[in-house]
Order: sequence, then structure tokens, then C-alpha cells
Amino acid sequence: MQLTQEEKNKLIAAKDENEWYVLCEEIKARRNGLYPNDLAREIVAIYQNKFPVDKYPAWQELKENMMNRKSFLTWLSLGWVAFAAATGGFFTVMIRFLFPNVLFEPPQSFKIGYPDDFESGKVDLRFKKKYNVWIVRDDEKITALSTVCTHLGCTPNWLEMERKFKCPCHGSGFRSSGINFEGPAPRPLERFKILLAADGQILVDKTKSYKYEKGEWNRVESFLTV
Amino acid sequence: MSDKKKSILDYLNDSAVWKSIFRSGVPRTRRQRMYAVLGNVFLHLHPARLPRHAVKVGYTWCMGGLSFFLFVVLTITGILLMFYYRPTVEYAFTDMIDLGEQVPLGIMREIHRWGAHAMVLTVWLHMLRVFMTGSYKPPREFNWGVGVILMTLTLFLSFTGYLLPWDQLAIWAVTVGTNMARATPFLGHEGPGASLLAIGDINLVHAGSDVRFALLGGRFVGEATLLRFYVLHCIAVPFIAMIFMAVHFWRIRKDGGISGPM
Repeated sequence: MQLTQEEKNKLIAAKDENEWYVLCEEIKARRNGLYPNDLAREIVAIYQNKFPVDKYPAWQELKENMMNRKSFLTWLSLGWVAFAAATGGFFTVMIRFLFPNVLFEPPQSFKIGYPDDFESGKVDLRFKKKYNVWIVRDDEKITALSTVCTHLGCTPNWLEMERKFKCPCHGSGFRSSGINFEGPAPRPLERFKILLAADGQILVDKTKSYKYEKGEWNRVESFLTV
Repeated sequence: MSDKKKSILDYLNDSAVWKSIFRSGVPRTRRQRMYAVLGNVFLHLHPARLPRHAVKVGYTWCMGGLSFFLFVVLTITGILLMFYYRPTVEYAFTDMIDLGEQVPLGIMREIHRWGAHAMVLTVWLHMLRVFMTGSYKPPREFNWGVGVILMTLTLFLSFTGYLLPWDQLAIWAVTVGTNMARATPFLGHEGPGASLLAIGDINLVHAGSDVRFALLGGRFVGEATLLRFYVLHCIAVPFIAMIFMAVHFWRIRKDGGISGPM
């Protein structure tokens, strides 16, 4: 179903595209409306020869509006930067997500009562379970000791008969002052910040701790003079 | 005997169901066997043909394969345990006891536990074998790195699983273990450099903002920690480990196949 020579000549002689399409319709009609692939290829070849693509006004217009290489690369890199920023932002959010805002834990600072509630020479165990502190009063001062063993972080027990804190995990022992004297513990128990609140009650603040080996037990906030 | 009787296998081979799944019949030639391995998602993990030395158990100890086998066992038993175990302070310990006492065939938790111990062992032995045979050398040096990460993940899986029974041993072992995170450089509040990250008198890295806090979900091992370790143990770490395992197995093939005697 090839084009006849006459059809070819007519197509080549077509003045403009309108005439071209009329001719195409005629060719189609002569073949009972059929327009097979090999015929189409022939016609397209003549068309491309007759109306070169870059002379076509619509193509010129398209070319002017088309993105050039430089702006394409600019947009591409902008896109990648935006994507990287969004991903980075999400990962930052993800890390922040792991730090809870609300804790279902006892508060870090709390009031434990009046100085007279504590007897001299006694280790007070009332706040051990909830707040992890021992309140120790001697003749001069009241201190709040951390119940965390300085060896590996277990909780020692106060043995009243032997007057020492004894850790069940690895046998570290501490005096009532918090000084270590036996077992593997490398340093004394830590003290927490302790002060008198405006209402006369004792306030313990666990966010501040004081280490003996750093000389911090001399600081006024590390004990309460009575 | 020209009219050979068709066997049941032949009828099966010719059925549309069989052909839709396996595409080819029973592989009889070498080429067909290779095709059968390549065309099967489960078998393609294996090379289409094995070098003779690959089956020398005396050389490889099969420790990598056993580690993977145990990972599969732990995944299956772990999923089963999740049907009964509730990761809350109220129920965790009793659910753990019930898994042995009340649940049918109360052996599932024991399989999971012993499988976990065995997997740590096989992973270490795998590493020892690779080291001793020099199989970490180029071109396998990258895969050695992937393997080290996988070993760390195995230990972390062990560690997170250790808390879940929620008994005294678990709580204090994890308390002691997570105390190490305090000493992380810059990220732990007792670690080197942490005191440098401060604005004036305010420490940025303290007990309520350091890496241990993020791991525990609090300042000490509590109910937040139990839930966190449960999620890490059951979902997060296995997910990451599976990605690394895929890379690990793929690189074995790409780096010249299973290592053997020179």
C-alpha cells in the first residue's frame, strides 16, 4: 500500500499544512480509510523533509519557552538541596523524638519536711524508694546522699547494726557519711543539693550533685548546717 | 517401551498451577538446575554452582550459616512470644513466668533464650574463623566491616532482650550496662568533653538530656525503659540487622563467593 508517484508529487507540491492535511485525507479515503504503518512512514518522511522541524513556528516558540541546560541544573540542584534539607530535618526531629518531654518519674526537687523531723546520728530511709536519697543527720549538718553505688550503679542497703551502706551487687561498703571503705567502689557516694525553703522545710534538688573527690563537699549547698 | 507411561510428577509438571509457580519442569540437566536456582527467590541466595571447597565444614565451620539459621529461629519464636508477653511493669514478669508455666508447650521461651545464647556464640565463632583464615583481607574488607556491625547488633539484641523478663537480674544488669552510656564522649553527661558543652553555668549535656536518657526514656531503668527496649528488641534492631544481613550475604557473592583454602 505504497504511495503512487502522483500522490507523492501532490504532497511535495502542497503549499501549506492545511493543503497537506486535505491531501492526506484524500489518500486515506482512496484506501477505504486505512492508514497502515508503512504508508504512514512514507508520508512522515516527506512531511519532515517539507516542513523541517526548526522552521516550524510553533517549534521556535517552544524552543524559546524551553528550559535551557543551566536553569535545568539550577532547578535540579535546588530540588536536591530541598530534599536533603527535608530529610535532614526529619532525622533531627527523629532524634528529638527520643527525648521525652513528660517523665513518669518522681520530681527531681522535692521537700522532705522540717530539720527537726530528722534525728541526729540517724540515716533516714523514708525517701530511698521514691526519690533514691538517704537523708543523714549528724551533730552539725544534714546531707542528702545518692543511693546509687559508685561502683556500677546498684542500690546499697543501710545496715543499722554495722552502721554502713552495703551494696548487694559486689559488696561495696560506705560509712554513714558516704565515704567508701570496702569493696570495689572507687569513690564516695554523691551528695545532692540541700537547702531550706522559704516555708522552713528542707528542699532537696537532685539536678545538682557534689563529689567528695573533687572537693565539692565543702560547698555550702552540699549540706545543711543545723 | 515407546509409549512411556506418564507419572504423577509429569501430570503435576504439566499443570498450569505448577508452571505458574516454577515456570520450568523438574530440572534434569545442569543448565536447568542452574536456572532453577537463579529463578527462585529463596534459592538465589545460593550461588548457582558451588566450588568443591564450599562444603568443607572443617574450613568454614558453617558458623555464618548457623548464625543466620538461629536468627530465623529467634524471629519465629520471638513472634510467638509476642502473642503472650506484655511489656509493662505490671505484667512483664508474670507474663514471662506464664510463658513457661501456663502457655501450651512452655518451651518456646527457652528455645528463644537458648537460641539467643547460641547465636552470640556462633557469631563470635564465625568472626574467629574469618579472622583465623584471613578471609577479612581484600576483596572482602568491606564485608568484614559489615560483619562487625552485625556482631554489634547481635550483642545489642541480646542486651535489649535481657531486660524483658523484668526480674531483679534484668533490671540491675541493664542498670549497670546502661551506666556505660554516661561515659560516652560529648553525648554522655559524665563522658569526656560533656562539660565543654555548656552555656555559662548551664550544662547542655546533663542526666536529663544525654544519650543514656534517650536510651532509657528517663533517668533510670523504669517502665519507659521496658517499653523502649521491647520496641528496640522486637522491631527496630531486627529491622536494621536484616538490612545489614542482606548487604552481607550479597557481598559474599560479589566479593568472590565463599572463602576457601588458597
